[in-house]
Amino acid sequence: MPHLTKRRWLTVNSVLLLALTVTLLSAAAIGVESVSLAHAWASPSPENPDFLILFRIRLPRVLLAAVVGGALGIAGAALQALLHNPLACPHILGVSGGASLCGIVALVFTSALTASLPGFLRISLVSLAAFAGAVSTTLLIYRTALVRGRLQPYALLLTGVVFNAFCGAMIMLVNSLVDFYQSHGVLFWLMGSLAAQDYATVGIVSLYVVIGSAWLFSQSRYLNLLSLGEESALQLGVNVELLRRGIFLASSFLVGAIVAVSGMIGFVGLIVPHLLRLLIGADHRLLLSASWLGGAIFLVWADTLARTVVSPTELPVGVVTAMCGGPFFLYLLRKEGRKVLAA
Amino acid sequence: MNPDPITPLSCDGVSFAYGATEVLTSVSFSVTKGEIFGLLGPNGSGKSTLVRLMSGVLVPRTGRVMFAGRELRNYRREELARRIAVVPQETRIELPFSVLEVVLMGRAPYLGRFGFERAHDLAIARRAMEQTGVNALATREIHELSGGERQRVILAKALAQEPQVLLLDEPTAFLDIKHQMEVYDLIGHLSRQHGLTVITIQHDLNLAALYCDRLALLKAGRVFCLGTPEQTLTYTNVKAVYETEVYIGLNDITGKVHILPLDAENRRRLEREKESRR
Repeated sequence: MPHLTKRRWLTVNSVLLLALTVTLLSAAAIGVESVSLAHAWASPSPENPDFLILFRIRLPRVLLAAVVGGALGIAGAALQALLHNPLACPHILGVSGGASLCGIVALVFTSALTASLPGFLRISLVSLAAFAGAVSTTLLIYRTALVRGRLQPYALLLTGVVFNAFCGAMIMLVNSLVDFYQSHGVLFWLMGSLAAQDYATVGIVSLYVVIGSAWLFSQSRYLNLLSLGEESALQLGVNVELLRRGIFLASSFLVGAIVAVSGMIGFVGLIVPHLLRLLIGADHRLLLSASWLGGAIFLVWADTLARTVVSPTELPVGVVTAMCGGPFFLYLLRKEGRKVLAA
Repeated sequence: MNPDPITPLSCDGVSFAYGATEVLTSVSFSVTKGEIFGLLGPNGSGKSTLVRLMSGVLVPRTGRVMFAGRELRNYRREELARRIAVVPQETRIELPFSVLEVVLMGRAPYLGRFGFERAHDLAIARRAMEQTGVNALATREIHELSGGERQRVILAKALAQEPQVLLLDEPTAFLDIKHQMEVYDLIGHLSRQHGLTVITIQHDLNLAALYCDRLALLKAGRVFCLGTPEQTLTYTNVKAVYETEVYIGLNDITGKVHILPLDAENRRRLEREKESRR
């Protein structure tokens, strides 16, 4: 890959932005009911079913898919750089699992309290709990995998997978113990869903995602240096300790924010940065923004498939991403495993 | 490179400990501009820690490490990275960066937060790659390379920092003899032609004798002796520091001392002969 120039940065990001726009428009047009944009525009009122479907049901969902996908994509790329492990992503590391578990617990224990709260506060409360869950999971797996000052790749992946299984079981437990009348069923937390969200929710999640992503993006040059190793990065002028904590917090913040509205959606953060590295190279100044846009495109299409492929029922979107991601992970493990895990 | 005649790097009564274990005890020495200074000593004698202190990655518990008369800790990290570069023993890069991308990382201390490398930075990276002979590998992925090639890429990255001092932590540990000599020939050239000051850890006493202007032998965290290879690599010093018998002779071609290991049988014979002479 030739080195990154401003020109290539602009070209790649423009192409991806254009692709995302096309994706958003076409995904909004695709669905079980066929609707006409012209008809929807002709009388923009809630009585017009075309308007209702397009602008009240599909568009918020498609936008949410983009924001969630973007957050997962950039968080995956950042975690891979931080952990020196191309097999890392929030889902595989168990961060999403920890976030989901704390999210569901918060939802159950505060449901009486929050019933009277406005929607965005309720989302923020669950997000906060999910964020706490994500941070503690990240710390836990990091501590477990750190042996004599070195991250052990095997331990890292194994801890993540086991912790994810544990969280899945706990979520089932919580779900069985409480009378679960919330709008989110257990499938929402385990396999993810982007259905039934209003613009206010999309707005508040977008705000959190923009903050977290912007911070990660501002660090992209230092992420490159981090791949030389902590000490070399330090010698090149990077405040490694601060950067490491910042990436932990920012990616946990992103995962916390999106888990509260979309549950556990796996593998986006693994697949997207990986494919993009093959296409545009490893430089994080481009990879982070491209992973955001690429993650958004990928999840919008995955969700479109999830809501149309077995209509009139819907698949959880996590089923679709796992069907792409599972085999991809195995392929990577065979291809990269020898290189990465031999450490 | 800066034609500053001041002592580039010096240690003044430096001590350091990891937790309760003291690794270095009142180490003092200074290097002069343009010299190749070798750090020798057995495993665990504190060489690597000393290099980390001199690169500013660690801060001494007591004493001072100075660059151009100013303590390292009074420099901003990026200022230091423009003056001192480090080549570690081994660098593992798991993400698929290209060789040119890795070398350009050496320009980081000169760029702004979102900075892209300018033509000037690219020219410097290209020249560094030319010097270390990795220009032909520019577009290859870093993990496709052999250990020797990778080490020369990391050396090019260090040179792209345009440092006044180069710190090498056993740079040739994983290289074969040809590549070992290539790296040291290059370092020698840079110190003579460009006044680059080089401090290098070396386990190979012969390479140290051949290429270094001065050597410091470390034992248990202290400087045991310091001077030219002829002054320091004597039978008594080597025996005291490494606690083993070696053969020390003079190389006819280079005129430098050379050191050969002896097998157990010959070491015992030597011991016996000395006993009987006493």
